[in-house]
Amino acid sequence: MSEVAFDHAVLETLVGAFADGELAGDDVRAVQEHLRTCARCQRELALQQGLSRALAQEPAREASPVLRRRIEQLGPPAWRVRTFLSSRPWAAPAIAALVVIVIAAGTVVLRDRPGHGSTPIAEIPVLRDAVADCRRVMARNFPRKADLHAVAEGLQFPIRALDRPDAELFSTWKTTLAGVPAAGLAYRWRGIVVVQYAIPAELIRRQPQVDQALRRTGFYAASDQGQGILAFLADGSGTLLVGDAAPEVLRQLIL
Amino acid sequence: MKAEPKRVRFQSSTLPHLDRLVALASRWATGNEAEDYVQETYVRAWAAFDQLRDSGAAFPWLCQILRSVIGERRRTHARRQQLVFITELEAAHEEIVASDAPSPLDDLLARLEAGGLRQALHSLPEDFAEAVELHDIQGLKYSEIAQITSVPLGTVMSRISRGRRLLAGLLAVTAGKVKPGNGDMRERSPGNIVQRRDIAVSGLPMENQGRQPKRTSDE
Repeated sequence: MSEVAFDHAVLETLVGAFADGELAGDDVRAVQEHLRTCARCQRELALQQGLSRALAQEPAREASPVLRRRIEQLGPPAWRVRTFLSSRPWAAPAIAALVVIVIAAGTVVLRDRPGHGSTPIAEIPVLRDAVADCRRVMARNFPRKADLHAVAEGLQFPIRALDRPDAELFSTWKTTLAGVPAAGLAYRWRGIVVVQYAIPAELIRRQPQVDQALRRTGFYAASDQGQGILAFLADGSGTLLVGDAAPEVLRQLIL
Repeated sequence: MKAEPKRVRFQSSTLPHLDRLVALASRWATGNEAEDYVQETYVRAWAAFDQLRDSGAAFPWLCQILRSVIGERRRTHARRQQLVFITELEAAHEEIVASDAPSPLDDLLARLEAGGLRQALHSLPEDFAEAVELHDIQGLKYSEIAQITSVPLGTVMSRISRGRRLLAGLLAVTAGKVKPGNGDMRERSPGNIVQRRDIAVSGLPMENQGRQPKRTSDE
């Protein structure tokens, strides 16, 4: 290939980026120089610019009101509360009084609420690690395979997947919780993702507050930043469920 | 971190991008399925929101999660890979830029109905179409696209440039402005042109279709 032909072949590949303003210094000058004399690249430039402009004007689909509402419900928008309060001077004292009543009532109720722990999960290593692992896999790619045999290999305790027809197991992976090998199983269930961690039973019992709740009620429930956590024992192994739902909702998976 | 400020920050960082994400998800799915993808994207984004350091980078971050969600769903359902006759589209593009005649592109674009160009783009191989869509429709920079798609900057450059060439070729072939290299032209439209099963990827003969399809190289 001659030098001129080589230059053309290389520079032609840069025309699209030149049209988009994505080239730097020397490359810009080289393409500009080449465009002065190359009719073919001039046509290529017009083509790239024309299509880019036309695509930018294409009408885009918008989210439906139903979806928008669902997304907004992921967290109650505080600006609505502020708007509500600023337009109703009587509302703030009334709400404050209501909050006091609710807290007082809640304290009484929670005192006897079975299975619900009051210890922050940051102080319970196995729960802390499970929530962190769950957030990590949710933000990245879930492992491609759902292979129970593969994740069970090498573990000294049995793994039992959730037996529910409405829960679709789509991913499994090996992980470590509180320094102990464990298995993660991800399900789609009622529009959310729930992660099940299979761990040794003794890892759950090692935590005094969790062990007490298990002995008393059969499960331990906690929440952290909108995520529910449910711990229980079954068939000689421990299970943690983590998902974007209240622990009471997660319990439905094992009832 | 307190929950309420987190919700406020989450909503102010991510909700402005909801429509764009639905539009992007519509590349891979239609109707409720596209919205399901986006809903799952937001659920995961909410769970992992603490990992977003720069709220200005929320859209590329959401795009990455959306791609993960769609990748997993599509693996689950294992769709048949569509076959595209790349060589024919490249030949059509070649005819446009090599000819001294006035370019037919403006005329072709003027004849398309609203949304027709986007639909034609969806007919192209995914890597090219995605890069073009993220840049030309979603307005992302090359560096952001490289981050979202986990490929080098040079590959993004190549995919966008080549994607537009293929799109021009597709418009020309569909409109009959360029004579196809093989196959007949009956009942062609931008939407169905890549679904023909009698033409192989990059000219790969039909008898080889049972094996792994030949990938077009853009790197």
